[in-house]
Amino acid sequence: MMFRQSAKSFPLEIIEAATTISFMNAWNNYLWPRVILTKSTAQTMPMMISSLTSGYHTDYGMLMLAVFITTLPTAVVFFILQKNFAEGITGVIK
Amino acid sequence: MYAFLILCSVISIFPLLWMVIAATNRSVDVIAGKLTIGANLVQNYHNLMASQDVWHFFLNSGKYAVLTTVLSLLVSSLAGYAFEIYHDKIKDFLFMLILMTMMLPFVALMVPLFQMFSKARLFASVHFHAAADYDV
Repeated sequence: MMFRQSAKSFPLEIIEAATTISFMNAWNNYLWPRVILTKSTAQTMPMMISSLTSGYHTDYGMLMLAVFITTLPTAVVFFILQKNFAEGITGVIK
Repeated sequence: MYAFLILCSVISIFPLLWMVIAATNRSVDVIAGKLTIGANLVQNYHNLMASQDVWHFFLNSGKYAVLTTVLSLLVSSLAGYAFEIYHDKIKDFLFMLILMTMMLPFVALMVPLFQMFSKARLFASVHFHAAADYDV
């Protein structure tokens, strides 16, 4: 299959870097999910954080815990794929 | 030289550190600028779980992010490979057009995309939204 052949020639470092950046962008994306997800049960983490600040008073300890939980997956993805990130993002192929 | 680098690292690290520390403190202490680890982590956790369906939204975010990543990587890497291997005048022009769409701010595309979605009746299901996500 043609895809199999071309996939072999993709340098893995670049794929890893692209995964990291793409995942981070998608996970942190606020505007588009906010516009398109209209049901209150279909929310993403950034939407939930913004709804935590909208009351009469904001519990900052709770808010920061929510932010911390939201940060975890991007951090995990980054640390897993971190090894070749610098080479991948600059497009250096050995 | 090293002083400058250390300064930059401190500026980068400090907000993260503050986030972790603030998650263990009461709201009053966070506003007061307390920078030591407090004892309120469990209480904060209970408050958060009581006020929001956190893990459900976490799962939503996960679906959205993973689908977006997989789809955009698949499509973009194949397109990039094709543009790199096969060059001719029309393809280079097409490549330039695609680069130009990347320069457009997402806000400008939001209303047309929203109308496309409303015509296709794709609201409120996380699975379809990854396909239209613009942040490749």
